[in-house]
Amino acid sequence: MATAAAQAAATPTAGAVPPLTTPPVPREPSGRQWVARFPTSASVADCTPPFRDNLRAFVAALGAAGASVNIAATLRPPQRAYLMHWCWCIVKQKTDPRAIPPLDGVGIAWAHLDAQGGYDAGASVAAAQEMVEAYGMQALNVAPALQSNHISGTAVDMAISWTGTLAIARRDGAVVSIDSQPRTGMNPDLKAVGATYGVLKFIGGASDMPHWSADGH
Amino acid sequence: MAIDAMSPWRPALAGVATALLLAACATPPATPDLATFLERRATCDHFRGEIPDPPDPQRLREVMEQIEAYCKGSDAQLAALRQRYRDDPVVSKQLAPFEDRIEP
Repeated sequence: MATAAAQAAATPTAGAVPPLTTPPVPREPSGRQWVARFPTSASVADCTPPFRDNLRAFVAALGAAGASVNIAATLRPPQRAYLMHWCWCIVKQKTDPRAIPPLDGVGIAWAHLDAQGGYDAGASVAAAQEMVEAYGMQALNVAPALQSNHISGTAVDMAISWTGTLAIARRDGAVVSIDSQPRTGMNPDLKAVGATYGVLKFIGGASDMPHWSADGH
Repeated sequence: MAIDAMSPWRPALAGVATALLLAACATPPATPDLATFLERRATCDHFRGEIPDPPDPQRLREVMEQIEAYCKGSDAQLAALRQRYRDDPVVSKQLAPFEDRIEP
């Protein structure tokens, strides 16, 4: 479909000065439909190098050793973090939808308009509430982060388990036999093996059992 | 262990003590409340990035327990610390990256 601006550009008139700015991109009103977009990944391939390659090698070593690895989350796209953060702020902090900064690549209109073209506060908040519910954040008492290792592609949440003794290769190829407990990602000997790959267990102990990252945070 | 005033080790120990004092002066220790806040807020911010997606009730419960433990009261604590250290550029710089308001 040709826009008025495109048509104008295609039929220049003598002496006309082309516009210096591009016309505004139409924005889609906020609402539940946004929640299915920019999904969080569970794929190692979506991580950021060099963590991606380190994690891939560590997971391969776990697999070769016979361990079970179930990855729940890797990359949370910044666009999704933005959507989660600001819908929560509109609902829980009463942030004015008209004051929310835009994010490149996310054509969302947080401020809805009524039939007369005026700002519709009720519709704007209701749409944000739909999103909060669809994200499962109704009971959340803190704003979701805009920055994290998941958002930068340098973290993974994964459940690891095995039976018997785990004979696993370190990064340098030396095989370590782990017969200590627990037989999960919380095993201190396995944490040491992970570190040789540059995949570090969360430094906060058992408070976040599935979390590994590039820096332990 | 008591150190004899005439001990041949005395000059060496004095040197070590001086070095430790100089090191301490170079990096003044954070006051306990500031250090506690920085540690708690770092943990809080970690869990703010762990909201399970797609929603997972079990994981969400685990994350919210940590958020309750580490995030509650953070806004007021941060505001108080910003005020207390408003004339301290080193501490102000440490506090600068934190969002003013993360609670409802």
